[in-house]
Amino acid sequence: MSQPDRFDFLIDSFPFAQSVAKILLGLENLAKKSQLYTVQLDSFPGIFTNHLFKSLTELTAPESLKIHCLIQESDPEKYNRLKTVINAKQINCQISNDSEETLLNSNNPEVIILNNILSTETNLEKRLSNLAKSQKALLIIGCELSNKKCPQLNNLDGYELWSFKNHHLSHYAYINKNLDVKKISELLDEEFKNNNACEKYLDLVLALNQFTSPQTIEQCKFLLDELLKLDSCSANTHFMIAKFFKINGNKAKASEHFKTAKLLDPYSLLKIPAH
Amino acid sequence: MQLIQNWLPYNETILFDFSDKYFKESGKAVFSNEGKSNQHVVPNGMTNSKAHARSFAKFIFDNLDNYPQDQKIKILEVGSGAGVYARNFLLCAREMNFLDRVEYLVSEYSPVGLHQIKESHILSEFEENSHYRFVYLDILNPDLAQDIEGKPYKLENLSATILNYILCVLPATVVRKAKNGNIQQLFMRFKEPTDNKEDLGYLESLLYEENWKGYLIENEPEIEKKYFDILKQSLDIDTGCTFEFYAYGSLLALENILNRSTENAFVFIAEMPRIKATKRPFKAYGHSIANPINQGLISSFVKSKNLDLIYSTDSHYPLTRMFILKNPALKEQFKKTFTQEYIEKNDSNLILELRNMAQQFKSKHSCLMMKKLLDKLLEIDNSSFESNWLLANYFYLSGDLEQARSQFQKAKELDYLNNIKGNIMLEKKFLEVQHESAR
Repeated sequence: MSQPDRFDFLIDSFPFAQSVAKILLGLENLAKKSQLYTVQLDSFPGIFTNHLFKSLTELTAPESLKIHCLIQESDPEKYNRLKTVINAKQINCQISNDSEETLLNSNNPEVIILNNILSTETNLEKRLSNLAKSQKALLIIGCELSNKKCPQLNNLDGYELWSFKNHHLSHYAYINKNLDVKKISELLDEEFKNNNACEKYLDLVLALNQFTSPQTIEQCKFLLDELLKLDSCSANTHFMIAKFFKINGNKAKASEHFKTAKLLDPYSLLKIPAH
Repeated sequence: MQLIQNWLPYNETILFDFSDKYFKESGKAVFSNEGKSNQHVVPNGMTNSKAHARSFAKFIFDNLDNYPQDQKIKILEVGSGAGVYARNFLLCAREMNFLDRVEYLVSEYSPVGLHQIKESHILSEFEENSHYRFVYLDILNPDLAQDIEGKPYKLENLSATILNYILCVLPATVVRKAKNGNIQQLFMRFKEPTDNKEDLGYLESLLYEENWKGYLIENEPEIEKKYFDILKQSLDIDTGCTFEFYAYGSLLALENILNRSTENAFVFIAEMPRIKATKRPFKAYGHSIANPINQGLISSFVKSKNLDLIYSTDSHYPLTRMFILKNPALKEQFKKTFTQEYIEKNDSNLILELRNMAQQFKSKHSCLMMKKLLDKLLEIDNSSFESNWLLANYFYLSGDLEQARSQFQKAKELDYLNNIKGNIMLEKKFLEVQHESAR
């Protein structure tokens, strides 16, 4: 069975999106805003986006949602595929293929999400400086694989840098100095430093990916339960459960979970075997 | 590119010269990570696990009534490496309450290796010349065996023998059956892309050409003639492979062991299985080569001796396990233990997988899960460097620096293969914890 590609699944886990959702809702309170305009740049493949929407929906009653999400992807091919993947029914969401510059100028978003941008962006620091120019954003929040160097721009005018490097992921945020920087830092600390469900989930996925024998599975069922508790809506979770049933000889259950995993993995990022 | 060896039969190529010298002169270094990358280390993870030793001990335990009460049960380990397996076996024998009935022969082909085992004090918990004995042994010439002081040692009355990855390094040649039914032998010639013979990747990097010629057995040495009929029988079995290994060295080793064994004795073989798709006949580990087992050949040999054989190849970890029984009446009992140990539970696999899984936990938020996993691991293996190192990591992750420091120290004492020294990451971690704890 193939090892899930680290790049593909590390940043797209549900617990990570859940943390971002909590920060958005916390920010909404702290900024005393009745509405919050969020833009997620380079959103392809959209798995994080769907997780974010699901988390926002779970954390807030849909009718009281005041977060408007703009999902940006200017690459035409990726944009078309993104439209088919993103489940925008439950949230105030718009998918845009405008360029980043046009989108930012016309919408003046208050939160900018930069998720795993370093894989395509070679000069993120320059891009960040551009994003921060207007000083209208309340928060620019980003995340990278921890083996990559996170931007550390301490001199972004009007913003205070917060950053934390975990084992799998590095998180950073630029907080608008007009806000209560201390409180927002505490919010970020809480999600990414003190109680990081995302790191726990990633440890689990990588650990469970090591088992190959039925005897091990019997001993490690409790890890699958933990995995389900943390994330029941990711392709990875269902992939692991399917693997469990397959090794245990329950072909029907294995096939069911492989199918679910496949549905949740529209770009075949996981190498799901024929079932 | 320089031609370094012209056409020769596979078994006469430089591959075997390198291998023989490497095993004879390097001692336990061949199994250690020290100063080399993983692919150059002779594999020992599974065979050095306590579970592997415990299963073997279980076969002895279940067979205790079949051995005379008034004499020691003599158990031979051919090629004891760094002594890790020997220690694990003796620990298990103690746990199963039959340690005092055992005399374990810790043997080595390499004089360097045998002295290293003694000097490492890996067996210090046990009594030399009572629970165990050191023996220099070339299993192809057992009459030349000596004790550690160089006095002749008579190898006899063996009750059980274990060979962990030994048959794969004994002399063998590569053969195939031509369309006309004649047997052909593989000839090779080698070119070297670099002249750095010291580089551990040297054998792996050699370029070679192949040629097949008729295997004229009448011109070959006695040992090859001796088992030729068995080879012919085994070649009648279609394995789907394009060539087969004529492991005559393995057959001689097994015959030597069986001839020196008691009537209820058994031989346990743990070997690298054959992977059909592999085109290259040998696998290089540093300056040594290994050839996978030819099950058909061993089966034909066992049949020719009217003995019994139980075997299986693990589908999860590349390992073939074989038991040769001198007394066919014991077959049912062995089959029962075999099923319990390798089919129903298989702790050897479990140890490796639990270790691999526990290594993935890197976040302090995962500590509780890691601990649960380690509890399971320590239930079946609490005496290895690896388990103790992982436990130290757990203390470190959970922020208990003092416990981590003493646990890392304990693991270091069990690091008989110098794995910490050979791994920058481990060494760094060890020093870091000692330093942080001191602060």
